[in-house]
This record gives sequence, C-alpha cells and structure tokens, in this order.
Amino acid sequence: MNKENIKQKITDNGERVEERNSLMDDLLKALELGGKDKVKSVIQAKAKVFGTQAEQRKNILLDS
Amino acid sequence: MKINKLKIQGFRGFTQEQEIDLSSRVTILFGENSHGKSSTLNAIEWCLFGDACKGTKPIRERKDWLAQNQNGDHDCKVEMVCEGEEGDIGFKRVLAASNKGLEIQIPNEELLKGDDANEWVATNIGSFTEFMATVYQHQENIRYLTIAGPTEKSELINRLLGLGDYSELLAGISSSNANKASKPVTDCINEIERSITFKSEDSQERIQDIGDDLGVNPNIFSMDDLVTNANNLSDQIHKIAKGIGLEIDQQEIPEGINEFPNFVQALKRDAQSLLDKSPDENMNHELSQKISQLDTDIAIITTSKKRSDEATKGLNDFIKSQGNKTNLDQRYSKLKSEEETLNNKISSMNKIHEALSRIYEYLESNDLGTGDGECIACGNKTVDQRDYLKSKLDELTTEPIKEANTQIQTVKAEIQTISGHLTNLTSLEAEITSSLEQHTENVEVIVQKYELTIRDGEDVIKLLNQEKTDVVNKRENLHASIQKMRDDVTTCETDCERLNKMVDLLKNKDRINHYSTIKEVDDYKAIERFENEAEQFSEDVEAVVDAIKSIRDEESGSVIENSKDIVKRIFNKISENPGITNIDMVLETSRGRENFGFKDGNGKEILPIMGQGDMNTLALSIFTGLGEANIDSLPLKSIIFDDPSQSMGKHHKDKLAEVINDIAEKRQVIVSTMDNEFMELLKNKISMEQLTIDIEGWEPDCGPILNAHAA
Repeated sequence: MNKENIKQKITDNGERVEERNSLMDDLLKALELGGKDKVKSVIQAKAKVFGTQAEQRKNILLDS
Repeated sequence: MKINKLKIQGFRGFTQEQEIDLSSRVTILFGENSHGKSSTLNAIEWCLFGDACKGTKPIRERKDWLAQNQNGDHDCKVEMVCEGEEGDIGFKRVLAASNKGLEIQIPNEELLKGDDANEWVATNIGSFTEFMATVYQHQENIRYLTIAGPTEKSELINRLLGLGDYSELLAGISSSNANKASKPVTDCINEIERSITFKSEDSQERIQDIGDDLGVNPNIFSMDDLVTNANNLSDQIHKIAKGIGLEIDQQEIPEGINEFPNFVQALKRDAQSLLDKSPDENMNHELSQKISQLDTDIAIITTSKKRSDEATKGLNDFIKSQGNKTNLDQRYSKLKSEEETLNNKISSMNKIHEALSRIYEYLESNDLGTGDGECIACGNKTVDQRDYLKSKLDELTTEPIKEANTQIQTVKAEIQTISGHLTNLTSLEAEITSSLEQHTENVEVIVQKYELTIRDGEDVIKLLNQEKTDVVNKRENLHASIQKMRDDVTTCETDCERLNKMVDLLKNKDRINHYSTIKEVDDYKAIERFENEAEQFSEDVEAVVDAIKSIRDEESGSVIENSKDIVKRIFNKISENPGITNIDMVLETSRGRENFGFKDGNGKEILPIMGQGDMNTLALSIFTGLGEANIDSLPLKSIIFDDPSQSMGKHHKDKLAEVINDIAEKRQVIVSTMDNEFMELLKNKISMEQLTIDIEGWEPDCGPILNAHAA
C-alpha cells in the first residue's frame, strides 16, 4: 500500500491537511497492529469522545 | 533475499526438531496429505508474521489454528535462515510460557526482538497480505476464487494484486460508522431540549402551587420579598426571646438564595431553643417533677397507714372471736389440768387392770375359781369366780381406760388449738408493732422532707394532698404563659416553612430563567461545538476514504497495467482454452462498491464460462504474473506454491511445470505437491538445480519422515 501517496493526496486536497494526515497515520498504525478490527475500534474511540464530552456537559446543564 | 534453511520444533505436525535445507534453486516437497507439506510451508509464514497469518479471510484453514503442536511436550519454535546481501539473516519465533515472539539477527547488528523485529519484517519484507500476494500461493486462495461471492472474490483478487491492505483499511473504516459520529451529540442536544421543556413546565406548575399556598403573586414575588419576610421572622424570634428574658444572637440574612435553606434551618433551631431555655418551661418541669414526687410519697404513707390499720383491725377481730391473751391463757391452763387428771385416772385404772389381770391369770393357770363363791377382788357372790372376774376386768378397767383415752385426745386437740391462737395472737401483736414503727418512720421522713408541722389529730396524708394541690395550682397558673410561648414558637416554625417555600419558589423561577437562557451557557455552546467537530471528523474520515480509494485505484490500475500482459501470457500458456482468446482484468464500480472483473476482448465476463482448472490457472496466473511484474521491487525473491496443480488435467500440469521452470530462472521456488503426475513433470521440466524432499510418512514421536535427495 502506498501510504505516502495517500497522504500526498490528502495534502493536495488542501483542507484540514494536518488533521486528516494525522488521522491517516493513526489508521495506518491501527491496521498494522490489528487489521480492520483495530481500524474500526480506533475510529469508534475517536468518535466516542464527542458523545462522551457532550454527555458530561449535558449532565452538568440538566443537574444545575 | 532468499530462504536457505528452516528448523522446526513443536509446530503443527512437527514434534522433534527437524532441519530442512531449502537452499536449492528449486525445492520440491512431495508426499501424501497430512504428512507435513503444508506444515512446513506454514512454518515459514508463522516464523515471519506470527498470529497475523491466523484467521484472515480466506485462509479458513487457519481459523482455529493453534500454532503449538498439541501432541508434543516441546515448546513451539521455528527458526529460519535467509541469505541477504550482507550475509545470513536469522529469524526465530517462539511460543512458550517463558518466551514468546520474534527475534531477528541481522549481520553485524544487535539482536532485534518483539515489536522491533515485527517492524523490521514489515519494512523489509512487507505485510502478510503482500506476502500472500507475491510470495506464498495458498491452496485456499485458489479454491476461494472459484467458490466465493462477488465481495469476497473481489477481496481475494485485491489480495492477489497486493491491494489487500487497502481493502482491510477501507473495511475497518466502513464498519466503524464514522459518518454517524455526531449522532450521540445530536441526541444530547435533543435530550436537553426535551428536558428543559419538561422541567420548565414542571417548575412553572410548582411556582403556581407555591404561590397559591402562600397567598402571594408568584410572578411579582422577588428576592426582596424573601429578605423582608426573613427579617421579620428573625426579629419575631428575637422578640420572643427577649420577652422571656433570654438573649440570643440574631441570624444574619444571607445574600444568595442557595444559602437560605441553612439560614432557615438556623432560625428553626433558635425557635426550638426558646422552649428548651424558657424559665417558665423549666419551672413547669420542676413542678411536674414535684407533683410526681408527692404522688409517690402519698402512696408510701397511704400504704404504711393501711398496713398499720389492718394489723390493728386484725388483732381486734381475733380477740373478739378467740378472746384476749388472759382468756386464752386461762383456757390453756384449764385444759392442761384436765389432761393431767385424765392421765392420772388412766394410770390408776391401768394398775387395777394389771392387778386383776394377774389374778385372772393365776386362777386360770391353777385352774381355780371355776365354781361359785365370793369374788376375790370385791367379795361379791358369784356363780363362776373366773367368769365374774373377767367381766369385771372389762367393766372396771378396759372400757373406762378407752373412754379416758378418747377424752384426753379431745383435750389435747383443744390445747393445740389454743396454742395456735396464742401463736397467732403473738404474730398479730408483732405486726402491729412493726407496721406502726414503719408508718411512724415514714411520717418522720415525709415531715422532714416537706418541712410539715403536724398538729394533734392532723393526718399527714391530708397535709401531703394539700401540698400537692398547691403545687398543681402553681403549675396551672404557669400554663397560660407557657402555652402562649409554645404557640409563638409554633408560629415561628410555620413561618420557617413558609420561608422555605418562598426559597423554593424563587429557585424555580431561577431555574426557568436558566432554562430559557441555556443556549447561551458555555456548556451548551461546547456541546454545539462537539457536534460541529464530530461532523468535521466524519468529513475527515470521508476525505481519507476518498484519498485511499483514489490511490488504490491508481495503484490497482498500475498493477493491472504492469502485470496484465504477463498474466495473460501465463494464463494462455497454461490454459490454451479456445473459448478464451483474451483476458482483461478490469476494476468496476457497482452500487458504490468496487469489484474486479475478468473480461474477454469483447468486454464479456469470462469467469462464468471457466472450468475448475481454468479458475485455478487464472489464480495462479495472477499470482505468478504479479510476482514476475514486480520482481525487482520484491525484497524476498522466493516464491512458494502449495499444491498448485489441484483440479488440473495433464495438459494444464505440463504447462504449469514449464511456467514454474521459467519462474525458477528468476526466483527461488519452493513447491509442495502430492500429485505423482505433476511431480514427474516437474522433474522433467525443471532445468535448474533442484532438491526433492520426499515426505515418506509421519510418526507421533518425531513428526514428518523426511528424505531429501538432489535430482
């Protein structure tokens, strides 16, 4: 797999280059460590952060 | 780099350690099924990739594969020596309780272990997927191409094209549902909106209820009103305290609504303390205690008086019925005298009786006095002296003695009765003395305790009752003032509850205000920011997916372009199917998924018209074609065929042997087969240096029985 070309493609796109390349690095690392299941769990862990933080703030708002 | 040597112990079918020479240009492993051919080839991939080669579709034979040999006692160990440009590179993978993982010894460098060793393999040999695409042709890859569905077939071809990592990565991303990252956040926002609507209505209802309860207009009731009420109540408690002569510190009115519950609690405690500290309450308490004490003392005196009276009455009643002591003594003396008289009488008659009995016995023993004459005892004329004497004996002694004894028993019983009366009389007199002493003592104690002056004829119980009446009256007089204070305190407590309700009312008003402005609060804004960030994250993932697909398509196009002529040449050489004159690998997108297809020169799918042998040929063509097309960039110049001739006819096998001979000119070849016909063809067609390893059997103690011999 040509990892550098993928990252170059992301860079050429010009939008949120740093974030997307960092995400790509994380996904490649996950693929290396545990295949597609690890890739899935890494993305889900990242996505979960938003929901968890929102849940915490929601509880603060509704308990106050 | 090429493989030179393999040393296997405790892995799958291998029990004892065995060394296998793979240094020849072509090595053929020949033997029956389950003798260890595949175990040997599996040992190479396990040594390099460990668990990464287990359970990866479509390698189903590895699904539940335990690397460690279950039959042997040895640890599982595979060592491999490869020939590199700088010298031999040693690989060793161990699965044991004390040691686990890969070690690599590179010439003139430190031993690499664990993650470092795995990373070296990834960098210098490639991933397991790449290894399967270019080095190791699995039996299952061939089988799978013929039976898998479109998606799995596409994955397989991806793998054969060396694009398996793209598929793996895209499958992982797709199954993560990254496009729904913002949903939990949106759910939170919706829940907040539902909740504040519900809570606002609830608070509004509560405000109205409290307003009705307190008789205030909740819409205009403010913090100032609460402070005014709090001040009034605090003053009231202070005033009551002052009224009963107490000094208490006045509570300070708090500034914030949240401090009010504690303030109200403190006011309540102050009000309660008025009851505890009030002099009237204390006096009331003392008087109640005194009344209680008087009741106890009255009961004691009453009891001792009653006992004394009952003792006196008992004695009088006794005397009345039985007489006094003098009477009883006289009766006793008289009875004693009667007893003595009777005893004397009995004694006299006993003597007469004894004398007459002796006479009678004398007469009888001498056989005298049987005729008439005068009685020896009394001189009276008798017909028969002995009979007369006998009758007189009974008449004068036996009967009177019996009668006297009956009389004396009666007298004795009377003496006992009188004796009992005298004892009772003594007890009654003693009880009178004792009860009088007790009562006198009790009276003295009471007189001293209450400082009473008892005039002649005055009853101490009456005096005590009089004292009690005085105390009760005093307590009654206190009642009014105490009740007033208690009412005042109760009013204060009620006002405290009112204050609490006012606090509740204002808090609910604050809550409604908070809900109405919740979207301006930092925490809410943060949630909105998280929603944006989550959406942004989904977009990032989508952009990354687009980039991966774009590069994959470029790469697959390039791979297909570079290898399609070679694949076509190899396929045509082996197959010689007159129905397939051309073969093009194409990548097509259908319903959002990319699938590989194989078409003839007219754009028609060729897989549906292929037989089993042609399918195998196609898979082998892709595999060997890719390897040949990329030979310069392959780090490991070896190629491994695992039973490649399956489902092939003699013609296919013959051509395959020729293709393998062509490959052997450029790469090291390791091929395993159980096919005698193919084995003979290989021997005839291979022109390069070759070593055949016959696997002649399998023994539980040592594993495969290997017999290596050069051609």
